[in-house]
Amino acid sequence: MKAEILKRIDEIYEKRDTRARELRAEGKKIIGYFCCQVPLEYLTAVDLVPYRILGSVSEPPTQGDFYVESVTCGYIRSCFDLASKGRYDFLDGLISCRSCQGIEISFDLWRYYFRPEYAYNIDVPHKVSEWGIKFFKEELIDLRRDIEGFYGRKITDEALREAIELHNSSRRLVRELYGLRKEDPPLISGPEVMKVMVASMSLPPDEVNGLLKRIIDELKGTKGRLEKRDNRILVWGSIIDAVPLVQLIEDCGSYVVMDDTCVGSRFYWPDVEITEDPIDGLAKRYLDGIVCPRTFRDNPGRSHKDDLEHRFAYLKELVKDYKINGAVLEITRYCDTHGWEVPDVKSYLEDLGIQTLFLEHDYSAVALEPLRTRIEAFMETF
Amino acid sequence: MKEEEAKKSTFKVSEVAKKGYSLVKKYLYEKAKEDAKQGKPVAWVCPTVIYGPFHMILDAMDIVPMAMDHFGAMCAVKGVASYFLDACAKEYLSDSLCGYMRCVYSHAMLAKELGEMPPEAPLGGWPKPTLMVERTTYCDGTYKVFQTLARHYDVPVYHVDLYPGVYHKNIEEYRKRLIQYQYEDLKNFAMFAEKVTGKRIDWDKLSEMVYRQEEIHRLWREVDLLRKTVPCPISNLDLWAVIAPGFWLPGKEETLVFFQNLLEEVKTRAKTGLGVVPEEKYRLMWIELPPWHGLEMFNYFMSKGAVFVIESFWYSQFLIPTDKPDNITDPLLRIAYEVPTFSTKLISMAEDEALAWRTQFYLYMAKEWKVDGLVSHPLLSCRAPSFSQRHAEELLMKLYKIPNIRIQGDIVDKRAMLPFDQLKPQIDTFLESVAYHKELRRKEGVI
Repeated sequence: MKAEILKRIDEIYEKRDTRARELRAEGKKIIGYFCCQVPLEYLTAVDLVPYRILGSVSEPPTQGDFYVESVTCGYIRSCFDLASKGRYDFLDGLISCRSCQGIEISFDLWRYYFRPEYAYNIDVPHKVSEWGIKFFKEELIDLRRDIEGFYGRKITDEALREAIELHNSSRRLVRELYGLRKEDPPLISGPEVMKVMVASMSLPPDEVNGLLKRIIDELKGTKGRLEKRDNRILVWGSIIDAVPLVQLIEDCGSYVVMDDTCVGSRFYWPDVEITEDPIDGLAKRYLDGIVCPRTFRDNPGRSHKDDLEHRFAYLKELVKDYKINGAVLEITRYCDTHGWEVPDVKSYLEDLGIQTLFLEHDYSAVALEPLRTRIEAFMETF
Repeated sequence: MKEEEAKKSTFKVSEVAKKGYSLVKKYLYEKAKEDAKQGKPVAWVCPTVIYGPFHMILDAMDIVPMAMDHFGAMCAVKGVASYFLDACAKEYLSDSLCGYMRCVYSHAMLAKELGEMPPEAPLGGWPKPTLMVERTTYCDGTYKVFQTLARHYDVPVYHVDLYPGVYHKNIEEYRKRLIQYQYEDLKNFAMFAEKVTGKRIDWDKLSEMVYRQEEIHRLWREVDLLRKTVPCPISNLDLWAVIAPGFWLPGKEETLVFFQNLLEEVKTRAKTGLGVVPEEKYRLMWIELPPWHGLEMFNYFMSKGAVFVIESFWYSQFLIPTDKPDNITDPLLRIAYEVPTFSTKLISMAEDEALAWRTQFYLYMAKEWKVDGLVSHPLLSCRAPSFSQRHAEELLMKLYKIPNIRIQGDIVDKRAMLPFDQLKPQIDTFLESVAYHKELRRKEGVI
């Protein structure tokens, strides 16, 4: 039987803009953002509502190709497609970042075509270094000043610390929710978690926390809701912002018990450290803390084996904690940052004794179906 | 002239540009391999793009730099790309990842398996690396390839975060910040290379090369500016032959002489009204990297009197700053000053504040080089340029009534492009549209 709260999650997932539109009608400003590197704490500190811009794998882009070339990321094309159809007309602003080149250029195009009243782009170094953190901190100082100037609201250190605490609470709750997947069978399925993640990026953080608490409370003690399955899968890869791929993997006889994707653990995992100057903690978390293939982790002088350990040791922990025995490495076609990472992440996981399957897909629910046979065959190899 | 003949005939008009290839062959491959044989350390470098900073730094340390992106293009030109594009698929690399780098990856992977370079490797391939250097630059498609390739060549890798920058509201402060950041990274790169190889930078030599490269760029810029002349004195095919020494042999005396000669030649042609074709009917802009496997297509355009007078910024040098402050004497700082200045200048130039800096560039070029038509080339394996092409096409038509044709293809993979027989009717129709819009612009007084 489905927990009541999961029905609520279904509603939010299906119509994810409903709450944002309500809040806007009440006078709140809604700020769209791309990717994981935008410090949402700034927005919360001055009562702006963050809203993650996502695409739709279920809706074939009919207008997106007008804005962006067809040999580019399907997710981005879909975002433009939805925006051109008015699905993002409630956004008052856009804050983007140089997470990858596609997103960098998307900022320029979005600003030109959709003319948000507020638009800001943060430059994020492509590698972790002392001087990179310093550079990024200065970028964040610029952003703070710009938001304050535009909205006429001061982002005080105190308000920022409170916002950090609030978002850290979301992160802790998400980790707790994910912890329910460590059970065998898990207390929550992969598609359900996917819906929660999408919902959490569609609501203000205080509401996210309330929702997460309710889900966790209701699911604890619901053992037996899901049947036992032997295959416990990690999904690693580029953006998945909807249920179909995860559903397909589970339909083939497994549970997705962990993800390393950006509408999932990658977005929520590390907390922001509370530092004397709160921007220090933000800079460190958003550049170094988020483990995304877009960020090069410099490792000069070490052997390749050491380098793999340096980059992927966190996966070893996940494999152990979540009792993972298989991994699906998925990339959306034309995602260069993830594409080059595949050989290394694949061999690292295989060296841990984890079976892997590499899938490249077109960011389209319909186009996933031909992958079914491969996934079914993969599940039989365990 | 019959069409097939036209397609086969060449419109390379520059005698100097023709010498570019032999220069590259000599220094980038033959001498480099000889030096490696003598025991000098070798650095695989990619991508180079504008200014060639790593080549100069490495050269000044007596380390042999090998330009891997050049090699990828050579695979396409020599017609040996397909096999290498596919070979690395066994390591789960997508066929949409950078074609240059997939060729490099496969060669390196196969060389490891065979114990020597595959026999098909253009110019005999390259020696084994002592270290590998990759760079963020403009594209995501290349910046982590060596990190991955280290699984086959377990040598130290350094990633240099050297890129042109993004749109920024606080542009002046941002420029300074970016320069400082990149300067720090270059210093660390130099220390890294010293540590790995035990070699020390010859700072005098590096300074000399950096100043010389600035002069090379000044000359190159002059050549680009002379292409504004009607008729255009030099073709895009010539200019693409010039890229190789300009990018991959930076700061060398031989490169300086090459560009001095080139400028003199182009000046003479411009002064005497010598154009690429007997009758220049249309002036075209090409956006993006060319299909290195199918350059003969351009001859067809030119046989119709359509001349490409300017191309994308990757290989146009006219925005490279020529006014660097004299008080910047540290060569690494001069290098760091280069790229951010280039892009932030464009951002500052935008007439519409919301205009993407890349698009601003195309609008600027269309006006300045008196462009009649745009040919864009979306690339299967290169995202960097493909993202903003639609925008450029739309605005060029909307603001300046400049029509476009899109020729979908790839830098390396010829299978991504329609056969020429199928492209030809499209090109003919496009040129009719160019003629129509040229007349329309004349009547309406648009640019």
